[in-house]
Amino acid sequence: MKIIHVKNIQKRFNKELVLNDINFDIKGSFGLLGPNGAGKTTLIRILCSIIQPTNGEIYADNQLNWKDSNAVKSNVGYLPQTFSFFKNASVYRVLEYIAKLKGISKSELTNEITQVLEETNLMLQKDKKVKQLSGGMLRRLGIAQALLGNPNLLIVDEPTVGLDIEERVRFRQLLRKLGKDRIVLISSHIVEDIENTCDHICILKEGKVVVTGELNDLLASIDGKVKEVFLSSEQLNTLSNEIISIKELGSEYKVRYVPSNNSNLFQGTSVSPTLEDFYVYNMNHGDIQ
Amino acid sequence: MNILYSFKFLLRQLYLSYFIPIAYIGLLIYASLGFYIYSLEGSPGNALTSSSTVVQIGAIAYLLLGVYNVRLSDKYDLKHLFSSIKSGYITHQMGSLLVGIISIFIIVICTFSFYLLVMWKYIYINPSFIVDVFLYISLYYGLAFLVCYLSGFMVATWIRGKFVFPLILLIYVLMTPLNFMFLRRSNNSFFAWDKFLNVGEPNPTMAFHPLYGLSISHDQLAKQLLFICIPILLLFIYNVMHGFLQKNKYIIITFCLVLIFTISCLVSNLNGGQILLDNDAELHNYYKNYDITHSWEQQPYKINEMNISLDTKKNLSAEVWYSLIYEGQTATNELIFSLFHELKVKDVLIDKKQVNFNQNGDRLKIILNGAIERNEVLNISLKYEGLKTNFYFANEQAVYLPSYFNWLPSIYDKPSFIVLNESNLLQRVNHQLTQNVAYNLVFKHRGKEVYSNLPKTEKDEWAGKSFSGITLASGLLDVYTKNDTQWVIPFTWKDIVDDFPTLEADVQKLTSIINSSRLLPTEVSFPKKIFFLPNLNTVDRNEFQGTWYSQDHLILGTHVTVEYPEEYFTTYKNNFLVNIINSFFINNASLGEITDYQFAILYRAFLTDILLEQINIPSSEFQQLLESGQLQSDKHPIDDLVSQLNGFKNSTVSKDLSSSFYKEWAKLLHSNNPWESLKNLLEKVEDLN
Amino acid sequence: MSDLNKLNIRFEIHNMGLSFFIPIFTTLITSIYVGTTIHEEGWEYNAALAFEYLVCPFAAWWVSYLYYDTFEDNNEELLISLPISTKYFGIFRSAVFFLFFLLLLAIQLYVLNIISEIPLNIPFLLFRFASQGFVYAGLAFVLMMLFKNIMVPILAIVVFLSISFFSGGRPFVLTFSPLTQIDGEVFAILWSNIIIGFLFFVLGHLLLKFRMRNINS
Repeated sequence: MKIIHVKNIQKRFNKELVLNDINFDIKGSFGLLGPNGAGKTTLIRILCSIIQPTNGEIYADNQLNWKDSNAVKSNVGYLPQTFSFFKNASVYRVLEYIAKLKGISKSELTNEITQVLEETNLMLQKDKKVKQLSGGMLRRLGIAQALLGNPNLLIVDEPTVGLDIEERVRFRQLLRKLGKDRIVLISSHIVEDIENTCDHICILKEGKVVVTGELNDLLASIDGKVKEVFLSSEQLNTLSNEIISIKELGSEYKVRYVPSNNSNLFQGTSVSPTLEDFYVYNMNHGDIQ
Repeated sequence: MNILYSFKFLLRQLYLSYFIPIAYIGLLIYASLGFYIYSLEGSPGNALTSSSTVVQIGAIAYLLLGVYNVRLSDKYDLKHLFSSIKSGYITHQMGSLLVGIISIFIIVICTFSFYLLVMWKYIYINPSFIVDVFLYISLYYGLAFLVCYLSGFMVATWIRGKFVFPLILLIYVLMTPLNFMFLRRSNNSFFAWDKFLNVGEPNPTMAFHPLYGLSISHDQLAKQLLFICIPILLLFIYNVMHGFLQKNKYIIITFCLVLIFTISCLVSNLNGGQILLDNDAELHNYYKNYDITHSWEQQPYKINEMNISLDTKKNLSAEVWYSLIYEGQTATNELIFSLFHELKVKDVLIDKKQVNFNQNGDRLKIILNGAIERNEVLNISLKYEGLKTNFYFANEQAVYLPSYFNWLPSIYDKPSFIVLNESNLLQRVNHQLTQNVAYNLVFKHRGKEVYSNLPKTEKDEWAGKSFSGITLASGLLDVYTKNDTQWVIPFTWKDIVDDFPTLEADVQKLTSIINSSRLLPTEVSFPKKIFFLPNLNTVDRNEFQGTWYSQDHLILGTHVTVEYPEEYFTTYKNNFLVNIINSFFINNASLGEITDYQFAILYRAFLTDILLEQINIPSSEFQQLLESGQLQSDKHPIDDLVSQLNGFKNSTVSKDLSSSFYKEWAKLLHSNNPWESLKNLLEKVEDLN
Repeated sequence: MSDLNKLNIRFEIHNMGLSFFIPIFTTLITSIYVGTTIHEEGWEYNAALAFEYLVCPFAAWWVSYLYYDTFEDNNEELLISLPISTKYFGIFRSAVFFLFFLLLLAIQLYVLNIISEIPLNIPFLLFRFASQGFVYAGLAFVLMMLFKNIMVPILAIVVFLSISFFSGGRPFVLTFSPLTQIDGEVFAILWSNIIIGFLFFVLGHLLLKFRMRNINS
């Protein structure tokens, strides 16, 4: 499975339209970015076949169609936003339990578990109880359970939530590594998570796609549109919507912004855009598809 | 396979919670301890029927365990994770359910095994009771706990907040044996909600019934299944609504099948048959307001032969065919019979033609298509069904249809019971036919062995002539023979037969005195067939109601609360002798109609003292009767009569049982103004002296 | 005084949700039952039984629910980060809600006295039912501290009531006596209830102290 096509997906909960006409292709390491409430988790649950869309279809290049929920579930590994497990169960038992639920045969069970433990670097913790794991270990356990059954699509919802900086870095490396052999879809509102792990992205806002495409192409599309300038606090007040980020440097502020009529007053220097620039730019200026 | 693994995994999680294994073992110990205590008292039946506390404890424990198991995965937000795995959520749910089911199964097996261990010496003689015990434990421990577990599981699945606990408590209050505290009202006879909702022992305050046995009828099973199906259906709906089960034809078919099964269980319960009930007062209240003003005449009908076909699938269902010869002096266009009011007549045919009928209380009036003359013969066919009271039984579990009870159409125009105005006692009215009728009975009873006063001719068939009607009994009974006398008794009373000679010797002395003094128009003897049964209910304060004499059998009754009457005849010999005397002189249809029961009681008490005195057994029945105040009445002041009787009793004449006084007094039992006549009779005797 | 200022009853009630109203609802139902059966034979006994079974056990309800969120959602750590004492978190909050129960009971008994055809000794009845409620509240408190799960006090109290009903468990907590019975035997049970309830609360307090110290270390 190389590509998953998401076509005209719509989801209603009662009368509320949560997702509206979502279209994009998922391939490689794919990031789903958007503010809280954009519909990311709903879309992920549809992709995991936990819920069905109201309209639209999803299919993969290998004929797999999301109408066949059972077949999809056999191809998907999922790490929910909040992952925990029975606190008295050991890491190994948790994986064994999930492996059994996934229908992994007895003969393959030990190998599979050993493999995912190694992949997630949890071998030394395999006998530890869940209640004894740190936040990072618990997240890795979450990934390990999702990897059981060697899924073609790995879906990770908010991968670094609750992790410290070191753990975040390690976790992103792990996700990048996993993305080499399968499609990895990462949903996050933290731009860094996506930027460091994904090649393709989709930005959602209010249930609609703002933009989607290859990360480098998307960044290239705003090349020259992001500038950097050093301003005093008084000057800073004249900018509002244009600002992407501000960094305090003594009495001055280093400001990244997207130029507009107001900001033409300042002579900023063009900088190479980051995903954060792109994200803020699109949130403020992007047309919803 | 995965469900089993899920079960094992979850079981381990519960084990690690500490308080769940403690509660589980506590429940097992509590149940076993109860059995052990009752084993010391020799009460194998009460050990079960009095164990409602076990059900109460188990019910709350399993309701909470159901909630706990759902909350366990909810706590870690595993619902979405499991539902992203093919059949993951359902497998996990099934595993959780299996935890409850297997633990309940272990409770059933352990409690049953322990019961056998401590009660073996009392029950080994009756393998069918052992089966009953297993069914009882399965029904009222196993299935009751399962209902609670599923209900807790279902409620917690639907409701995630804190409100789950009030709901659990509500279910607990409504569905456990204690519910009668809240749901039973004295005037609530329309629908017994407490019985319907209670998944535990239906009669938690009632002692074990040694004849009926344990309440394990199909209706009870249907009820438990109904309450198991409801949470299953609601879980089904939840799973489909939330996408954990995909709507496909198999799911829809399964859902429909469970739904149909649930509805059929409900219908079966609403049209329920007879079950053992503890509402004796209901019958008492019914007859308190019963109109008994019309004369209780024997109808001028002669019956030579009666063919009866019975079924007891849910309750009594009877088809009766008989030839009736009309012996009335004047032509009539209606026939009057008496049939217990709970037996509802469906159809009446006369000479194969349908006729109208009217059933008013215990009175059945058949309206003929034309007038009939004296000696005209009618072929009557009746179909009727019913019976709910716990005074008599006719269901798959037990049968008790005595000959004195009008379960067959009786030719006496009188009710089945009356309530004596003076004492407020419930009195059974004798409906023994007193005609030598040839009976052919076909009775396909699915339950235990049936015993009758008629000889059994073939499988499910009894035939023979009887002067007193038919007595049928089935249940936890066994038959034992001692000194040529056949005893039909509850098997738990087996040892009582060995104690019988104590009683028999004195009864023989009594019958020889009665016969030699010709106190009765026909000779009496101890019949060769005795039904010794617990036929007196909690409202029966008059224990003479239990013992009924007829030539071919004696129904010797005692109270339902008697469970293991060791040396019973020796201990209560006097009571039995008094009851047997009463059955010879009062509860004996061959003597004709009792017109005044109060007067009959006086006769019986006086005569009993004289008779027992003759065999050197002290008796003060007469004195006790006077002290009880049962004779007091506004209609006929008795003070003078009592002093006359006391005077007579102290005279030597009273000891002569062959004197005409007793025969004359006996005749007064069937006369219209007995009190005044007895006074006159006593005056005559005084004059003679 | 400072503890009193920290008390936010509205917040606690809001936290309990609809469940807060359960004791009030049960009290209402019991009152209706007692009121409608006033002319029935044995009313004095049945009404007393209704109080003992349907009203008194609910003294434990609010006490249990006070600790529901703390323990069910693993908020113990948050607890020690707040500037509150063990006494405030345990006994003080429980006592406030037990007073609520007493108020409810007093109102119910006042109404009962109005409708009753026989004279009732209200202060005695308040003492009688309050002492029973005190045991249940104490039991709930200690079990919540011990097992950190609301199901345990519910299970324990229901099991106790079931056993006492079928075994006529006198003389222990319940008196099984009519409303009008006031004698030494009943008083002995009631005073023993006060002692048992007090011991439960002390034990619960010590357990809570132990738990908080464990979290700290």
